[in-house]
Amino acid sequence: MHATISDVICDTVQNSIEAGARNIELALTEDGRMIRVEIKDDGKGMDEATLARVWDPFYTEPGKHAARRVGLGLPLLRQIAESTGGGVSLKSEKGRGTDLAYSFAADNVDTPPMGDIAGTVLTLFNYEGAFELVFRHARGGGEYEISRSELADAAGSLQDAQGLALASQFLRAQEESLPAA
Amino acid sequence: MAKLTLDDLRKMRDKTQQAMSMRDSSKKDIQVIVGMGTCGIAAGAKDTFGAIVDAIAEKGLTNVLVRQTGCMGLCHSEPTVEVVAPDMPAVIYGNVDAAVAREIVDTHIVGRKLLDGHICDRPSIDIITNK
Repeated sequence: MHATISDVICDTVQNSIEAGARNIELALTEDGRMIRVEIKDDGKGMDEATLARVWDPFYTEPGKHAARRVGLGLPLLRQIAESTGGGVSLKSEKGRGTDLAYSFAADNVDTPPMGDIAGTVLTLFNYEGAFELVFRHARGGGEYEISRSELADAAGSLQDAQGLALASQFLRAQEESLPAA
Repeated sequence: MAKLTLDDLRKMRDKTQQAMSMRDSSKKDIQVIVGMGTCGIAAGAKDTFGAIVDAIAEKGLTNVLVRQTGCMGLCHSEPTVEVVAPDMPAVIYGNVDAAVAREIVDTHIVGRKLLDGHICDRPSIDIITNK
């Protein structure tokens, strides 16, 4: 089970990238009461039969992992979210994409710490492949939005260390500029 | 910290590139690949990734690509980092926290010596199936 909400975000956005999405939207909203994460992608999506099985920890998509027979990501996410008073919603259509949303009660003792959001977004932007990822973070009345393509353009590259260091500096500055929830 | 804009970032990039152009920054011939599967993330691979990026940037190295991959089958030794450099064996390091990541940059990438104590190598090939 992941130690931070950032780690959960990293894992669940990777699912969108691995599903071949060309466009991914990631929104993180903290209103003081709830922490909400919404991920929308236009990846390959899932049919109803697959959708019914994703909550089974002993099911994983055939071919995704060579010798693995379990898929723990979504079942564990549901367990954490619901134990804090939040929840998970999953909508998907084969060939069209997937919408995943989950939430945690901000003040629940079982809610994991937020972790390093800037570092998480940096690693997601660094992931190889031709996809667009737009990240939006709203907290305490402030918000910012940044896309992978515009940050790559401004930093020069999201693969070489110099560009990544600039991108990291940018993301950390945006995070620090947000008011407390 | 004052909010950084994308234009600020472009100016910083231009300034960095001018400084770098005085050095040999022709090709990116070294790859550092961080294992970022669920096992890696749970073990702290994002901190490792950040430490590598910062260490390489601080040293002004312009010939290094930082990439990521999924689980390399070494979940017991996460976070894992593979370094591929010319004229050196490709090596997978294990248990790479932020401090070890900086040592890898100092010793392997800059010093061109293998860092003892964290080498996992690659998973071995099955001699029966040859896979």
